[in-house]
Amino acid sequence: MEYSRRIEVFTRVKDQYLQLVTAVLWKLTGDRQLFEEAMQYTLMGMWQHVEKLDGDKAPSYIYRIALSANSKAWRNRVGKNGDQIPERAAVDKSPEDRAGQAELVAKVRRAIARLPENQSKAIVMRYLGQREYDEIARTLGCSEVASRSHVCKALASLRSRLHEE
Amino acid sequence: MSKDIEKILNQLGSEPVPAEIQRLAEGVSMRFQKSVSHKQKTTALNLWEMIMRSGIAKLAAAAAIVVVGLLAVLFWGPLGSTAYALEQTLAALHSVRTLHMKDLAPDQDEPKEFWIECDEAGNLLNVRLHMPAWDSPADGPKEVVWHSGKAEVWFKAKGVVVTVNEKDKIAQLLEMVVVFDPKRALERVMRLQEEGRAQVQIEQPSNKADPIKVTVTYKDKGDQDDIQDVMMINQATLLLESTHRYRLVNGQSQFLGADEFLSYNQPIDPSMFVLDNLPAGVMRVDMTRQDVGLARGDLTEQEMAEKVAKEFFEALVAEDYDKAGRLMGGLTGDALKTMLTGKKFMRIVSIGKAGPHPNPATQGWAVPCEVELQKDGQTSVVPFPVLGVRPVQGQPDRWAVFGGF
Repeated sequence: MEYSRRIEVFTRVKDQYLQLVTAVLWKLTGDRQLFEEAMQYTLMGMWQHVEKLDGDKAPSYIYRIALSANSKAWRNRVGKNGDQIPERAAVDKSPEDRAGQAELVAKVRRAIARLPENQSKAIVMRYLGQREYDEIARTLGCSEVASRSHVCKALASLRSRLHEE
Repeated sequence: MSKDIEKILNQLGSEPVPAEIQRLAEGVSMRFQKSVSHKQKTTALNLWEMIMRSGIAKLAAAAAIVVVGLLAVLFWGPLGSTAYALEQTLAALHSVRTLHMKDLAPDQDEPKEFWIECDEAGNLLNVRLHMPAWDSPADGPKEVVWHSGKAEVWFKAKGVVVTVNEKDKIAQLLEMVVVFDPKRALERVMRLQEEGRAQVQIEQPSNKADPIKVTVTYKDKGDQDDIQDVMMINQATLLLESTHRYRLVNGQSQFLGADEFLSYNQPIDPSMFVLDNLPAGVMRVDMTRQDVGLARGDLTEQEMAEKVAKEFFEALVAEDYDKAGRLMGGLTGDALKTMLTGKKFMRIVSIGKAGPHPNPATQGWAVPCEVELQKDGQTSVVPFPVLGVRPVQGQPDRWAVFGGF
């Protein structure tokens, strides 16, 4: 693809999906620095694979790129010092509950970053993107039953991973 | 626990994205957009300057040159504020359009050397390969240039330049370029890392003049020992400077080879991609000519071998060097005439029965011939016991003489 055409497609796709990517990455990271890193990886991924984003399958690729970027950002973070990030949520709980809840939220996020591709896509679309199953199925290119199955398996995997921790 | 997880997920899903984060996303996105657009402008500017400075002869080379990948440097910002990641080098490599590199092997002094030029879309335009004798002792040292699907191979020890366009042969030649492509090498490392099959250690010196050292340890398929690639990456350009490969055996490193990337995006003199200034007496054989050899038609292989031998010597007797050259696999008439200076083919004495060539590797036929030859005023009958004849490479329906006579 010519460079000028790459820029044209990239700009169109980026403008179209920036809000979606921002929402997904923020909900998956919950941390300003981690979010920025994941957003950089996502844009770099979109630029590298811009040919694939010029068609009907763009939404599926966008999720794939964003989730992969999220996983990389998490891996870098955990790989660097193993620290957990401070949770941003400050909800109406006691300090003890709030700390416990924050830790759990961070664990859920880390666990999503390690799910198989279709499971992570499905659970992110279902819960973080609040999409209906028929839309998830269309994006993943599978049946509605299969999309429900991906979500169920993802929940089971998250449960199992959190239990292990 | 299950309900907790669903609750957390639902809660995350319903939370709005803070305005501060939206602004941050827009800022990152804008920076990226600017960096890709800036790269395009810089490319155009440098090209124009280069063309203005270049003579007409250099225009072709100038048109293929693109500046070093500013994309990664601009977008990721100066190193130090952000930790180095392999993706940065991969991004920088995407904008490489010319490359000069060396490949070193253990116990060999002379390296292989490659010059590679691509167009704006990353398609190969020109390649030159310098191949020492150790790479293929049977061929001896070779120089190869490739352009537009056609390769010229100069077999230095044999004094022959062969032009080929056969896809398999070209693929073999270009395989070397692909194998040593730094972009592919890096993508492979990243894939291994993603699959959890490689350990990657990155050492980034605070002194920006020193390269970043990336050590990748992994196992090759079917290999018991660990392999270690040590990559040095320039902090300013983020491009790969070198890769050294080792096998780790009982705590010891055995050197397996090294690639040194000597320059990226530097103009390559167009004459590098032309085989000229060859020593006197070098024969040129163009196997891409459509009129090389003779069409076999309905003849058997044996009949065909004998027919080619007969017509070859008939052409020499008639001093039709162009035809004789075509029957000799595409040798030019002038080159053949020069080779035969002082010799005159008077008549064919005999063309014998063709049999399998004594060297099976040639997959050809041998035709025993006798010819009356005049040399230095003396006429004598000269035997040619093994005149080789076989199908032309890439044109299996046409047959020609091979291997000298």
